[in-house]
Amino acid sequence: MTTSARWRQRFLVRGVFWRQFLRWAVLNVPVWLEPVIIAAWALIFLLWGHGRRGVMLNLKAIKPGSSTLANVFRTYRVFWNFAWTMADNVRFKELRTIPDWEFQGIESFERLLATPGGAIILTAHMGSYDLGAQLFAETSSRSVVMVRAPETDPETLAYEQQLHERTAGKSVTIGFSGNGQALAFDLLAAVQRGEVVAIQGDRVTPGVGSRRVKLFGKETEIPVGPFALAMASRAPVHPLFVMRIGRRRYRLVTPPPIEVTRRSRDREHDLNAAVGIWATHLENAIREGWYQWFNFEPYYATETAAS
Amino acid sequence: MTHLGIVRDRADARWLPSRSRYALARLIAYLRARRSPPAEVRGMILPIDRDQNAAEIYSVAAWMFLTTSCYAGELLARRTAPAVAALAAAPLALLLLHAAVAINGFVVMPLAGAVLRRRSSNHTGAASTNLMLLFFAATAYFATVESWVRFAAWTAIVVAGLNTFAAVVLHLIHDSVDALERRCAT
Repeated sequence: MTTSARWRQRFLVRGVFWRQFLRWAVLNVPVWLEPVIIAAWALIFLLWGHGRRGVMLNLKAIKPGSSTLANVFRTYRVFWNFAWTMADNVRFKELRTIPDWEFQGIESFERLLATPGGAIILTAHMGSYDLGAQLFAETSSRSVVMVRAPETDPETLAYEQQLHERTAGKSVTIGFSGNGQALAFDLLAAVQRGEVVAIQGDRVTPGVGSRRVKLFGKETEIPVGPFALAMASRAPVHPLFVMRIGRRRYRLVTPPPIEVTRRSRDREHDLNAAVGIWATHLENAIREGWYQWFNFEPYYATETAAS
Repeated sequence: MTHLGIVRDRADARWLPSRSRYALARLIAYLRARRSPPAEVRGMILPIDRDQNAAEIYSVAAWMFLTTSCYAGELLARRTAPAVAALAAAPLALLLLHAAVAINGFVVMPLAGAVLRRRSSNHTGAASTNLMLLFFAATAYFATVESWVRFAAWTAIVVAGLNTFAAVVLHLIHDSVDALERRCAT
């Protein structure tokens, strides 16, 4: 890549410039001016056609019968929440500012904390995954391994890794889902050591095993790896959603855990049953919190994509 | 004032005055908290941070933006048609606010750091003070202008006056405020 192409890439939507810009803004914008700045930049990013179209297509399925105009406003609300979530995440990492937390299904969360041994947390691209992991790491003595898709931009990846090393401490480590089998063995070892593995189970990255499910009547794929890991390690899968419910306010929603056990000779049948339960929880969470499902790609195949 | 780090399991702690930044908001929070009985909510975690009051921050943001838009509209109206000034006022206000933040962050703070020989990456406190000073300097000017904009300027002055009054009241009742804060520490 030429120097000028590399320079231009920094300013693309996933480019490193915007991460650096966000960090600078968190450290320089007066708190009382943040809502105005975030409202303005959420509007500017709405110009990003690819992301806007992806969210609008998803909303068309989540809110059947909704008008295009209404979905434009809903899409803005998704971008607005994304901007706040990113800012809260950076503010926590740089200034250790924590938001208000409340719980829905606290019994399941307490069971997760109290049960010895490893555990698998399954979440979605909602609210703040990073803040949730930090909260867990600080309320529990166990280490957390966060699995995420690697950043597509190499400079952004390096920046995020540096930021994580500087700010997250040793209790939260990151594993990348693109590393396939090697990661699977690492995660199994982590669960067997008594650590908690946190995985986002609403999107499939290339090279990751998946299963077909229906979300809002549309066929899509969700990763099967967490359930295979649960079956191999005999650790339950704990669904957990970190929902943003206001400025510096988050709610941790924890449905009951999913036990993934061999009940028959048909391993696929047992895995599919667990995947089905997760798909139901995921659909319920997205139905309630559509405005913070940060999935900027259509989650189902569209006619345009197919052609 | 009693300082707590985090309050757990108490929903009524949301209205503690120490979770608000400005005196007027702290006084309103105090009056609200006095009327709220202790409410236990298992698992709730509420940090004691003066910037946690969302209603306060959104109100200040909206007020600042609307007032700045009025000032921008007045400046534009001196050079363009009223309709153009009305349409362009809000975008211009946004640009001016961004410019103020950028100049403060890239010019003022490094200069101040070099003069005072202090280096800190967190400039939000100083940015808040500097931008407020700039805002009230503009307010002082527009309060004397013979046009509709002086109503926006005088509203800003009245709000500042109310905040000062609230600060005096809070000082006079600080024992009661402290007792309320301590109630959540138990």
